[in-house]
Amino acid sequence: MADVVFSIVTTLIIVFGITYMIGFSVVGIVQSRKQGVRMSKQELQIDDVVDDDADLLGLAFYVLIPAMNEERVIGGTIQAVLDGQPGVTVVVVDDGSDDRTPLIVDSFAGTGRVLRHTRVKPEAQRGKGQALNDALRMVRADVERRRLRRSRVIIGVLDADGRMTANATTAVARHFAADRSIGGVQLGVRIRNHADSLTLMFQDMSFWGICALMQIGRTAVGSTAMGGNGQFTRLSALDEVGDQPWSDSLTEDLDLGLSLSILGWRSVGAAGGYVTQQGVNSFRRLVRQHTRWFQGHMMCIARFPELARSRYLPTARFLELTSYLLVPWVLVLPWSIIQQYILFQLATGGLDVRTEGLAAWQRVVMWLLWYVVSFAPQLYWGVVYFRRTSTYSFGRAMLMAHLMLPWSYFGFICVWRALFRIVLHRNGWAKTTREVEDDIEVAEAIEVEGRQYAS
Amino acid sequence: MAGERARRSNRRPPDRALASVASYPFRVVACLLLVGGAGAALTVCSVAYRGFEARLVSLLIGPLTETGHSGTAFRVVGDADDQAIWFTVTPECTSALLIVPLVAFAAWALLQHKFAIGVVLIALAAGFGIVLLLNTARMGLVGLGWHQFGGVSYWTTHSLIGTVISLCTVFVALVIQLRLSVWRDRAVRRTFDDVCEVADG
Repeated sequence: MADVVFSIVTTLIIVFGITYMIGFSVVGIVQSRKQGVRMSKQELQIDDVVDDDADLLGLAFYVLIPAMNEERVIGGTIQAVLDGQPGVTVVVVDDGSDDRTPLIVDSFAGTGRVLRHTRVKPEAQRGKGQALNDALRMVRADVERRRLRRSRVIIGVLDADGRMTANATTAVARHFAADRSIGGVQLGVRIRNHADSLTLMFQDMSFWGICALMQIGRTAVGSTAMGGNGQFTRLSALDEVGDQPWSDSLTEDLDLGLSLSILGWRSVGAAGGYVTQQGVNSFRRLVRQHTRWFQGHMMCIARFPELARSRYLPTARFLELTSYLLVPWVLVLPWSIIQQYILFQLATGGLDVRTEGLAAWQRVVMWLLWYVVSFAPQLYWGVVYFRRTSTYSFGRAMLMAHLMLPWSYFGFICVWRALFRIVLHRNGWAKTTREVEDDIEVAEAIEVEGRQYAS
Repeated sequence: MAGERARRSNRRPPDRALASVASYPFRVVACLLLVGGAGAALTVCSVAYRGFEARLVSLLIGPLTETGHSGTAFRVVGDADDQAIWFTVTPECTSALLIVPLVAFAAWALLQHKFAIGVVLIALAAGFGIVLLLNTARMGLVGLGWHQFGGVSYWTTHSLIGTVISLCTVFVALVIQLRLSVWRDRAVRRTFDDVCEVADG
């Protein structure tokens, strides 16, 4: 009886996982073609030449960059937005920095496109959501001052280490301009330093592989998840969510996406651009980061009743959002146990591929079939990643795909840590430390701008 | 202001809310009947159901070969040696096992107000039909393989092709069931023109 129940539960989990992930990734391929971008080698199709006359289709863009002690990266990030996204206003939210972040930001004041919003303690350093809400107040005031139409103002969120592809905002603008029901647009995410180590490659494989496809695929039902980097929302949609649309949730981005959906707004993925971010090279920091993401994701299940009660939420979108919220609970957590049981059975001979009485060639085919069926998700992931990146050979991508099996234990550790933290009501987190990258010295910036700034 | 207006209009009117509450016991009963029926097919009625499947296989391959059925087994006669062999529809081969994921989804959907009861049941019936058809075809393939090629074909048709067909069957049936389940949308459509007018003043 226990075996039967185990088989049924395992089958349900496998069917849920395969149907959801393969289903939406296939839809993603179709959806991206509708946007005129093939998901294969997407990065090669996106023009890296900046169009200074980029048409934002009458939309006004503000890009919010929350920054707390980001002196290592903030200068490069601001410069990249100024260079690559013509017409966009940058709002850096200095969340109580005690390094050179404010000075670096101020060195861009002469451009007329960079604003700094400063928060001080005790209000500062209480989470990204609060920082964004605070900055939004400033943006709303600026919108009023400039007499802009709120339905045509777009608020972007970029991490302090984020870099958008050239004219990404143009690709985003096309979606908002074409459909008034779109409240959010999310860019795909790539790990910038993915070639530096295996750990970084795995992170890129996660973001740029099937996840990217699925995000575009979710465009079909209008439920693309909002992420912390490369997220764009319509100001009038944010107004409907409330004065403080970003919550105190550990994943305030996912939470915002749910709020938008509950009010009937659609969220889509833009295939015509993407954002790169630093990966985390330290395993310990990576565990902390992913544990936070899992915890935030898992806690969002508490909003399921709101989704179920929403009059504006179409059934297909409701179904997809529910599936997405259930992934850590119904897929990752149970599979972390089932996988060990299967491996134990394999090791002790409890699970055997029956080959007695078969000819040699039949045994080979049988083992090949067993291998393909057992490793189907990894094989699919490897093929998808190879097709989408121009960096790695097929052999390397497939090797990486097979290494995803031991790498899955990383996910298992994080999801169980997240569960324990939820049970123990531990919801506080410190932000992830950055790697050193485009370091702009404050002294240089002051000289270039030709002005004197106090240091 | 805009947010409060949107949230107020998102609440169901009292008559709809009442209707939803009143219909919930029906949904629970429908869910229990569905799960109970599926459980019965897998346990108490397993033999009868598998006998039905054996009859279906026999009907399917009847035009192509001499066949028959008895209990939970169907008969095939080999073309080369005229030897008859009986294939039993075992509990591991039955379509009742393959529709467990479909029943699980339908049972959950019945408990959600967003899904119309009738639509959920129709979608389940469609999915069940696909599973029954494809699984019957799979078993028929095993029989026809034996009829044409003898015993050497069994491993290919049953273990190799049969496994692939089973996996594809569940996937296809579930996708179609899901697609049909969301076919009739009960959501209130927003035009967002009013939102833009208010937002833009």
